[in-house]
Amino acid sequence: MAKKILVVDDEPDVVTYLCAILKDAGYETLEASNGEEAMEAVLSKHPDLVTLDITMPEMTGVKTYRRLKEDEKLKKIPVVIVTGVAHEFKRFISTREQVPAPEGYLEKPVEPEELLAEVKRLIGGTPG
Amino acid sequence: MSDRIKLTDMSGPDRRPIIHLDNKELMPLPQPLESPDKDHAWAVLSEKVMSSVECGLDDTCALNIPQPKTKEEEEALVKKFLSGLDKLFQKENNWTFLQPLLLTMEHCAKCQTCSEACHIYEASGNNELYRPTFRSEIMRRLYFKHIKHGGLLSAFEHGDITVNWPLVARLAELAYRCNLCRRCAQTCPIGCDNGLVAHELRKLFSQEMGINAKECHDNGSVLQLKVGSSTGMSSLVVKDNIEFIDEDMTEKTGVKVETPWDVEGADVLLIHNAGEIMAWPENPGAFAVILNAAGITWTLSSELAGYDSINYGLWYDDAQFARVAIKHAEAAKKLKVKKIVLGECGHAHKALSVIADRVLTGELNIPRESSMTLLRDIVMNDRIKLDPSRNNFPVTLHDPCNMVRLMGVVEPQREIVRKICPKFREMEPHGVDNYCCGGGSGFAIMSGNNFQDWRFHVSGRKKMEQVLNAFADCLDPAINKYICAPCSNCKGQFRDMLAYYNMWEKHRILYGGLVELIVNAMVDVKPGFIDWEWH
Repeated sequence: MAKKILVVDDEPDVVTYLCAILKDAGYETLEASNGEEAMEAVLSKHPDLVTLDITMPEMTGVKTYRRLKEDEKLKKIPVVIVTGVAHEFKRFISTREQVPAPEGYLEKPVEPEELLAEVKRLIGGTPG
Repeated sequence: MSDRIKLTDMSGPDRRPIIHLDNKELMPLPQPLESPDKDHAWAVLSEKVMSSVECGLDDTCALNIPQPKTKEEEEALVKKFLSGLDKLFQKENNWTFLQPLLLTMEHCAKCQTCSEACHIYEASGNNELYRPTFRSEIMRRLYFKHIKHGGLLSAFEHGDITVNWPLVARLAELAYRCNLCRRCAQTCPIGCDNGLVAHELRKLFSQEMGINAKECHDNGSVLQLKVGSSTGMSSLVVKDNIEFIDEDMTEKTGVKVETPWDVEGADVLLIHNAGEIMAWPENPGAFAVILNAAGITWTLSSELAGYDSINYGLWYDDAQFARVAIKHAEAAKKLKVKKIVLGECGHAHKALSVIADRVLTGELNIPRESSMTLLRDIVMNDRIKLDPSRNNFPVTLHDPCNMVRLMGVVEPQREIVRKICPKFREMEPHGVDNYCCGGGSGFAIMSGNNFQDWRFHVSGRKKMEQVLNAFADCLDPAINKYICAPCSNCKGQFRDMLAYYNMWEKHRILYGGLVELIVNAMVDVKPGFIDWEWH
């Protein structure tokens, strides 16, 4: 069965782009345009991995990440942060005592190969 | 050293660099970096870069200007350049800087006093290309030929110049081989400002031709005006980060830390360089600890750009500069605060305090103050209790050019460090005679191609020398040492340059801000605020 990946980003073009790459590689994708939608999708659809944008309206990627990682049941879901925020943010989010470092981190613009490599590293490839 | 170059080489049709830099020819550094053989080799520009963008100046490339495909394209670009040049000398188009520019064009005596003062020229091993007068002399020749329409006699008197695309492309790059520190302007016996020439060229290229550093424009001021910060962080992200920071600070200091947001009528609107809110979280955290302890009524703003004092337009584009400055003032106006206080960011100081004076009039002319003077009042008036023995390690003070030489904020930060750092030692020279960190004017955020090599080997070299000299008596790695650099861009340069030379690993030289030193000495917080492993 294909692994499920939740793609969270407020820019529809980015969602379309990331989902297309993932689908082409055989993954199933879910979509969310902000943190609140993402939390709903995580709770109801149980994705195997989340790609998470940071600068989003309503609920940011920072808060979403915190909610995910502070929840005993959800914190095992690997998160790949995919962001356009300046690269120093990686160190910031990776050194907070309240949360573990994100499992993956990619800076936009993202190349298809690097996204797939990161996803494969964390949840493996797809059957077939 | 490369053969002595001439101004006319700038117009040479060959696309290859007109000079090459060699570690052996650079200004020697003191121990432990005295051996050029042990220095890092420069990364070489790739063939792909060399064949697609303009790299005809030296061994690096800051702007990635695409090579024109046809002669017609080249001619159109030259025409645009000359049209921009025209505008630089029109009151209607350049009322802000026309007067000092004209004075500089008309009166430079080419005495070379400025060359001796330029850290880039000296660090390069006195390479002609990097003389402040090399760039400005080209500008002067252009001025007399194309603005004053001088004929043969003028060409004889002032020197001639061939204006073609190679010259224009090289000049664009050369405008980005200056930190805009204006040590040259300070030393000029006549009052010419050859540093301004680099600024005006950048402005011409950006405003007229759309040529600028991507880090300052697309990922800088454009992003800031769209999202709120050139870091790419919206106010919501910054708030979430601050929530993390407040919790960390509470844990670390043992004092409940809460950062106020959008408090109407507060005495102080504090605007940080938003880079601090992710790259150096202890800095905004320490500000919160100090201001709360001193009983200041203060706030941060969540308005667009109201939480990020960065204004990269200062370095390359007056229009972008004004757009951002107005956003800063509007944030303060909306909250009806009594004044804006600028956090530890040098260029933000000069941008909003001095240069913006020409833009912010009427209701937008809200008082602006440096955090250095506010902190000085808090510390020197004993509004917080301090124990200097907690800072019993060697400390030196870096003077951010924009704040010190270009604004005269020299003593407040010194009074503080003298009071709270028993092992404080000055760099030589210091104060208004300081040397730039090498990251000024945007370089600290520019690392494309091999530009980073240039800013460590050349523009940052003099500062590296100063740091090593200041700590020459205590390079022993058993002794932790601290460079106090109250400026985000300077800290960015120190972070990168100290890492490049392994200065923490080998000699325990750390850098950081001023507020961290203050909190480290505060009696009412847990000892050990400075995190020596954060570097």
